[in-house]
Amino acid sequence: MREKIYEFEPYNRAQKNHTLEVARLAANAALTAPKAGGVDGVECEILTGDDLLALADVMERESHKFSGHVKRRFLYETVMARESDVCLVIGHYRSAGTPLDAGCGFCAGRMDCSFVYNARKTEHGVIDLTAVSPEERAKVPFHGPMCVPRNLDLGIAVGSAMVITQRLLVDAMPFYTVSVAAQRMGILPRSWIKVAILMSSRQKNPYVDVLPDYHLHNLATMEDDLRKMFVTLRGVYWYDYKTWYPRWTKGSGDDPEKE
Amino acid sequence: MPILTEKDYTFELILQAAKDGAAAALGAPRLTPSLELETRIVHGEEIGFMVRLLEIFAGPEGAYSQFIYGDYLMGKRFLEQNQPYAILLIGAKTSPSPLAWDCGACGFPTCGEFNRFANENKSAGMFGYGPACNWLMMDFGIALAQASAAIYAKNVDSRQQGSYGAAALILGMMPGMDAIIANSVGPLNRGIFQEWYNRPEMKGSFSMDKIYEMLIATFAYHFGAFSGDGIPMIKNTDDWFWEPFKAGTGPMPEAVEILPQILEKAGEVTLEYEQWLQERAAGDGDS
Repeated sequence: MREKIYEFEPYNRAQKNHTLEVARLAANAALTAPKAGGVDGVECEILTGDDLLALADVMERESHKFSGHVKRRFLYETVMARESDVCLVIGHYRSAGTPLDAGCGFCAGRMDCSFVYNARKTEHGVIDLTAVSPEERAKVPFHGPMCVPRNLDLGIAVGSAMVITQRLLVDAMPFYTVSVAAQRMGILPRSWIKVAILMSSRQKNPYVDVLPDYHLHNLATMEDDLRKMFVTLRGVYWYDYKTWYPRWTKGSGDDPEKE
Repeated sequence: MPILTEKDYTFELILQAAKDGAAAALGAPRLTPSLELETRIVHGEEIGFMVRLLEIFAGPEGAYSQFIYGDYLMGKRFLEQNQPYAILLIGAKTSPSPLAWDCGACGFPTCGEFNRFANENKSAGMFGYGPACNWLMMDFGIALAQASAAIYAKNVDSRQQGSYGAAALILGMMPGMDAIIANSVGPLNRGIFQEWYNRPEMKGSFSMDKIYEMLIATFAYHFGAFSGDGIPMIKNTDDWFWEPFKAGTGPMPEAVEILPQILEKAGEVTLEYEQWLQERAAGDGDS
């Protein structure tokens, strides 16, 4: 058993619980979303509390694999993950292993599914995902090729989940960076691709109005610096409030003692 | 006209619902910063060309595709009954990928390699152009869901249909788009089967023999006898033990023969549509 002790609650516990309820309903919406051929494939997992903070830590570590604007996205959106109440992860467990087999053409512009099947080890048309070693799989966040219409289904499921969050006025946004971190953390291991939606019930939407160098200048760092500066100031200008009250300089006109 | 009835405004309401769907799709939340998304609304004679294409794809009595056959019958019936009905087309450009995320889902280690492959290999499959960036495709899906939800909020029946989307793609209704999904919108009133998009016109289309043939072919194991001898017997009649029927595999040469015929017929409809568009444009010019 692990126990973490925080001095500061990040925000109101009731709001967090309500966001969790919305996330559960959004997950239901993802499950009932329309799918190609009506075939199942969507699964969901909800992260809160320590798990969500751990997810944010993974995002921060992933940022070091990138540079420029992608690195910035990882760093900035890590802040957003830490400000969120809940992360709903939606995965598709058929995208990699059981394609639609409809020859739709989206994976490689062909009238068949040969691009996906030729790239995977198969036995009589059954894809053997166990043939992909963990090392090979870890080279990229989402090991492909995948069945694109299955991933279109995943997008539709994400869209349906977003409808619920919008209807219930909970701020939410799907993020690639959080999705990568969820994959690296092994969330929904059956799904080789997944989309993570952050949700928040704060009075200010944490996913918009982002400052430059947001990983350095955000509400959490500002609050943290406030704590740091304020306690120091208290220490410097301490006095025994029971026996003494500082006087205003002469002639200011604001001296309560004079009144 | 002091009192308006449904006849006066139903089509207008359906068009408005389709427009609401378009707005929802265009304003949908995105995973990527760079999806090119477009919408169109079609109705009337233009749908007629789409229905003709679906008839070709479905084959005689749905011999090639039962799903498309149902969609074909639905559109045909709406047109014959002059039902107020429109199709919201939502299209997306899904390659090349400008993301530079190197996520690997497409099967290439970098977006650059994917884009080189896409430039050299871009062509059409059964439902659209590939290859496609998976994240752009997911954004496309989000837009589709939001459009459907906006139409649903108006209590207007709708259904996302890849079949009509493919027809729109072939007819060139959204140039530059790689994938199109159609959202059939309307009619407003409930049909006699309480809804329109459950393919009620399929009723009476197949005999029980034909249905069982499809069931046995699709779910052979469900009708399988004891398979311990390694030669599974399929119970295809009530007297299956007297007329053993062996499950097996074999080539399907007719599938290879039919495809070029379908494409040739589809090409003819596309040419007719282009001619119709030119004549309509000339007519507009005359007036």
